[in-house]
Amino acid sequence: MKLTIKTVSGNARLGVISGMGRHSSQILNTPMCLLYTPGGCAPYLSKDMLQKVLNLPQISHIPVNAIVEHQTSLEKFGKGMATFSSMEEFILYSSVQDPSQAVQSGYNEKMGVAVWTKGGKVKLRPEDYMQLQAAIQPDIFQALCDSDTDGLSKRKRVRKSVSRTLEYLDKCVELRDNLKSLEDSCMFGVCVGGYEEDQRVTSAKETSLRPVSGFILEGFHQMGPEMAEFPFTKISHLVTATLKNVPEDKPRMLPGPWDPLSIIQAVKAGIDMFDSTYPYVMAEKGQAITYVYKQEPKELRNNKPEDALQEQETHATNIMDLNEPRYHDDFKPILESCQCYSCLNFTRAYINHLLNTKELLGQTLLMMHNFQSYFDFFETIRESVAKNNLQSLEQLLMQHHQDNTHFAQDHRKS
Amino acid sequence: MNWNRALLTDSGGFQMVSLLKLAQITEEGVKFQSPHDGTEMLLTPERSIEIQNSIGADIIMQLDDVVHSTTTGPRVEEAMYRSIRWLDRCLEAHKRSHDQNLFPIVQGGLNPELRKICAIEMTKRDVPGFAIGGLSGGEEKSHFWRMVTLSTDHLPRDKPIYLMGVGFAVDLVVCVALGCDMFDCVFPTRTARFGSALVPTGQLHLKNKEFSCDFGPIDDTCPCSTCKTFTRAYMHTIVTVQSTSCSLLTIHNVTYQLRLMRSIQESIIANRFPQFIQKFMETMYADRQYPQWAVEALQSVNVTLCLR
Repeated sequence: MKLTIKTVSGNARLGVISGMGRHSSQILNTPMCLLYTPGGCAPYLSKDMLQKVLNLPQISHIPVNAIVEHQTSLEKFGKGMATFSSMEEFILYSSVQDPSQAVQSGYNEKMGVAVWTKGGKVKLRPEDYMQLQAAIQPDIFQALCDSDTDGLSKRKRVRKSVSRTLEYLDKCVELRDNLKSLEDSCMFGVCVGGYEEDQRVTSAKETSLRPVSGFILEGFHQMGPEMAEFPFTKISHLVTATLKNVPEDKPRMLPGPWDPLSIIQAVKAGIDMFDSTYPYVMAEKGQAITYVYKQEPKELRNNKPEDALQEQETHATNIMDLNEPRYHDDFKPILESCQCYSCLNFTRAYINHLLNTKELLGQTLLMMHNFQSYFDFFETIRESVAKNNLQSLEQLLMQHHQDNTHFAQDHRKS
Repeated sequence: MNWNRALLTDSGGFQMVSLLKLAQITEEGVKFQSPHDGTEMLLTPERSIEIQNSIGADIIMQLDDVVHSTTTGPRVEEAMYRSIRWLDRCLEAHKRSHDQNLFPIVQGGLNPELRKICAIEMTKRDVPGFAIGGLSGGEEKSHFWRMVTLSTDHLPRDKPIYLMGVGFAVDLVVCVALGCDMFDCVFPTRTARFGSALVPTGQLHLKNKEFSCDFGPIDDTCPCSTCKTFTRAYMHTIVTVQSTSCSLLTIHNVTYQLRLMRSIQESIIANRFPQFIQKFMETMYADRQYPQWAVEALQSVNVTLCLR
């Protein structure tokens, strides 16, 4: 795998990834996000619905916890997870944990890491993990790691996560040489270290010495839906300290359900890759992403002045909770300016009704809108880095955060 | 809904009685507690029609007095006569007879005399089609088919007959033979969400370990996108775990139902319906242990199942 940096804007990078094993003819533009596909499929979306989402990321992200119970089937199948799940046209990335679910803390041990399946907890030692990856045959995968730390972890626990993660990494490197099906796969090392800056530096420096193709930064949070409201600013100093100590010419990934403002801030710090668990986590809650990303206002479909006012109102809120009774007879789409399948065909009132009657279609429509929103957003980020415009994009989104407060206050007054 | 095809609404009667704990039925209507906030509500024939008029479906149903199919005694007779009176109130209240088709629902429980009276009475009204209700509620199949055929015997042959709440593939085939034209059932989509696929030989419970290394499609004759894209082994890994499996299996099960009805239609047009039934039953019951009720029901319309 090769990362070529085309433009630099502060610490932000516009890059091109190429040479990914079986997909050597494909190139990927960074900053980018992955397509979240737990168990090999996008949540709620059959393939024909997924194909209606524009700007689909080319990398499909599968956490191993959904597969570990089916390792035998996969081995018998023999052709890897991408083919097994009919996703051969995608580049396959597999991770240890699923960032859309909060990791249950305290179950990792010296000998291995705990992952959570439908049937319960499964312990993976490096040898188990690598056998599993050999069956999955990913194009890119995460090395086994202990990222079970957060803002409350004690220093002793943090140090343990750093040393264990390096031990696992070394074991994975060693085991990988004997696994033929992984010879074209790229392994990313994991930089941990909780909130101890010196540990972050150690982890980064040591990981850089190993033969890894990229770096994943974890150990800041248990992840899951609560992370959607966790601001990047809380960890920016730790990310900066880490990135100072990894090479420039390899991609850096920051997993987790990050909101768009945090994404911009992380890109500014030097992160290249993210996942798309945020759109999913929001859809699960019945919420739509309603940030406006384009700096010039898009033409409204109906060109009515009252629509412009409504649009303004909406843009003042980054999130729209379609469960709220006020959408009961609101017959506008989620966003007038959005070109996604849901906004072109359905109204807020209909989605509100679907959520109330507990119909799957509610989450399906929100998933499509949220994915579209997020993928369009990454397009905008790339444009902004290219034009050296990240600062104003960040200011636009921060304005929405402020407007959000004003809007809420106005509503309380009336 | 952004739905460009036809729409049918039910009156709410069945749902109220089957899904609500405290539904109180009087001549006026059905009194119940709202499932959302517990407030007391009254659903009358007039109100049901008003709601259905505003939803705007192409076919709408009368509000009927539904009793559980295993109920016996005077309640059954009361409900049957009340359904006729409520039919008349529905017809009176219907504001869109020019573009919405109101169907009566024949009741009478498992009592042949009551069923017959109800069918004959309702036939006297000027309506575009008829529904048969109060069956498919867990009653013995030997009673079920007799009530279906009795109902179709006393309804006009030139209007559609809609058997409500049916159902399983065998029931559909037999009830078409007995004279029914339209059906509805939650079974195909509900069972899809629980991980079961409908196939010509019955059902595949994809959660079962037997499918973990089965790399063929759910049904190799099925043209649906799920069967064209995924294997049984892959479906085994996602059913009841990933939300997408609900959509994927729903697509397959609905396709199965539509294909079944299409092949029934084609065989009737080609004058080979009895042969179709034979083939269908042989595929569904490989051991030739056909259900007795189905054998009798088919015999009553001169279709004799051979044991080859």
